[in-house]
Amino acid sequence: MFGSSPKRSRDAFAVVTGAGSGIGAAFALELGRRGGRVVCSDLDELAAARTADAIGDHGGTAIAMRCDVSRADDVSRLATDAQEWFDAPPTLVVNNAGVGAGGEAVGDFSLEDWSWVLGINLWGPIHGCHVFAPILRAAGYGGIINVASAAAFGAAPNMGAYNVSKAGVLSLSETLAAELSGTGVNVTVLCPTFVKTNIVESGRITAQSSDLANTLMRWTGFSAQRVARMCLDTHDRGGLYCMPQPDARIGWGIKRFAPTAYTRTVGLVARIPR
Amino acid sequence: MTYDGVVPARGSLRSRSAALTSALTLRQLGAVLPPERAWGLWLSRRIVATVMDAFGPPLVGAAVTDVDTHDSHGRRIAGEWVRGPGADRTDAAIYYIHGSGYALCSPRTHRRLTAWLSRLMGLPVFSVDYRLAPHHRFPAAADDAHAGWEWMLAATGLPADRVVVAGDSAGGHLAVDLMLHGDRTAREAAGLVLFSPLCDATLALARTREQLRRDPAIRASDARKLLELYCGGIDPTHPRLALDVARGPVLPPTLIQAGGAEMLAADAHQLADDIRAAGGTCELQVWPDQVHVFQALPRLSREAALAMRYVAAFVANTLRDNSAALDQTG
Repeated sequence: MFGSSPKRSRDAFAVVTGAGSGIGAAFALELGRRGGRVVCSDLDELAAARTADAIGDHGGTAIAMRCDVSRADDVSRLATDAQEWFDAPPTLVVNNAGVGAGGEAVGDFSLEDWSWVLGINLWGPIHGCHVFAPILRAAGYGGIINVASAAAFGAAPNMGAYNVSKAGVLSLSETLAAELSGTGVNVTVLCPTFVKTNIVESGRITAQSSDLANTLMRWTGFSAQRVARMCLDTHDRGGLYCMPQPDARIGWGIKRFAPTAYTRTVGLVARIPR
Repeated sequence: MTYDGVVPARGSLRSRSAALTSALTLRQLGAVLPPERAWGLWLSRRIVATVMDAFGPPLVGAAVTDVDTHDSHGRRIAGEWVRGPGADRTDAAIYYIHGSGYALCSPRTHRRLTAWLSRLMGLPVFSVDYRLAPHHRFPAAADDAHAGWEWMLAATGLPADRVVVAGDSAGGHLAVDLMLHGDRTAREAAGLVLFSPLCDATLALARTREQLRRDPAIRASDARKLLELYCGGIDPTHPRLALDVARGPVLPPTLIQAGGAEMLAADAHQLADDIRAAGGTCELQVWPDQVHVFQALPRLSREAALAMRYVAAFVANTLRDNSAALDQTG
C-alpha cells in the first residue's frame, strides 16, 4: 500500500537445512505460510518429510530432501536438486542445521566430539555459503540466513566447541555480508539464546548440564516459531544481526563494551558451586 | 473422479478465529482438568458435549431410534439408528463409530454429524454406543465396535459391500481395528471414511506435530492422559493398539479428512501412507487451519459443509462402483 520494497521472505524459493525439527522446522513452516516453495532438508529424512507434510497441510508447497550438511557433496547435491525442483535458483537459503554439545571443559571434551560439532555447526554453514552464495550472486537477488547463537559471543564455559562453531558462523556471516553488499543478496545472522527445541536431547551434553539447559529453555525460551518469524522480519528489513531475545541483546552490548570484565564475570559466576 | 481444488489453500476467517479462541480456552482447560479424577472427567465430558451441541446444532427432522439389545452370542448391543430428513433408502447403510479419546463422547454428542451424513446420502446410519473408559478398559470399546458391526449386518440383512464404515478420532482407530481384527466381512465394506483418525495411540506422532504447530484444542500430554484411561498399562506394541496397517490386509477404498491445525494431521498422513503401502487406495485431504473433527462443528467452520459434501460424493461413488461391479458379474 505504501510502496513495497521486495520482501525476501514472501513467496520465496527457500532451502532450509535442519528443517526436521526446532528452529529449522519453524523457519520452513513460516516460509511456507508466507507463500514460499520450501525445500526441507534434514539428516533425518522422515523428520524432514513430516515438516514438508505440515507445510502442505497449511496450503503451502514443500518437498523433503535428505542432506548431511557436514559433507560438501551432500550440500552440492541439495543445491542441484533444489534448483531442479524450483526450476529456478533459490531465493532464500537458511543454514540452520546444528547440534548442541557441552558440559565439559576444553581438554576434557574429546577431540572426536570437537570435530563432530564443528563438522555440523561450522562446516555446515560453510558448505551452505560456499555452494549457494555464488548461485544467489549470479541471480542478483536473494538472501542467506545463518543460524548462529548468542553463544557466538557469550563464550560460556564448558561449551567450547559449540561456542567456537557459532563464533565461526557469526564471522562467516559478517564476511559474507560485506562481500555480497551491492549484489542484491542480503545476509542475516540469527543469534538466539534459549529457544524451546530438542537440541538438548539430540546433542552430546552431560546429564547435569542437560537438566539445567532444559530448565532454562522451559522457563526463558522463546518458541521457535516466534524466533523464526522475528528473524525473517529482520531479514526483510535488511538487518544483518537478529537477536530475538533481550538477554542476547544485553549480553551482546556488554561483551562489546567491556569484553575483559565480561569474561572475568562469566568465569566467576561459573565457579559458584551449585 | 478428481476433486482437485476442493480444499482451499487457507481456512476461512471464521474457522481461524475459532481455532484461536479454542487455543485460549479449551486448550488451557484441558491442562487443568484431571481426567483421572471423577469430577475432572465429568467436567470434560460436559464441556465437550456443550461445545459440540452449541456449534453443531441438531439437524431438524432427524429421527433417532435407540437400540439396546443382545446379539445371538449374548453380547450387549447399544447404539442408535439415525435417519436424517428424507433418508429412506434401504439398499445401503453407514456404520458409524464416534470418537473422543475412548472416554468422553457418545452417539448423542455426534448426532449432528451422523444425522448430517444420513441426510446427505439418504442412508440410515447406525451409530454404535461402545463402552467407555475408565470403567471399561482396553479392548472393551474395540470389542463393542466388532459386535455392533456383526449385529448391524444381521439386523439389516445387507451384504457388507453395501455398508460404508465411518468414524472420527478414536473411532477411526476402532474402525481400522475392526478392519484388521474384526469379522472378515468388515474388509468387504464398500468404503471407509475417517475424520481426523487416531493412528498412533502413544501420540508420539502427534507430539512431533505439536512441536511444529500447537493444536488449538488440546496438548498432546493432556490427550495422552485421557487415552491412558483406556489403554494405560497395556503394552503399546499390542497388535490391537499399534495397528499394523502397512503389512495388513488391503482395506476398502478409504477417504481420510483431517484438519491442518490439529496434531492428529500427522496420524492422517501416516495412516494414508500405510493403507497405500498395503495396496489399498486412500484419498487424504488435510483442510488448512481446521481443528480436530471440524465436520462436527459447522457453526465454527464454513469448510465443514464443503468437506461433508465431498464425503457424500465419495460414499455415493464407492457404493455405485460396487453395484456396477455386481451388475457386470451377473
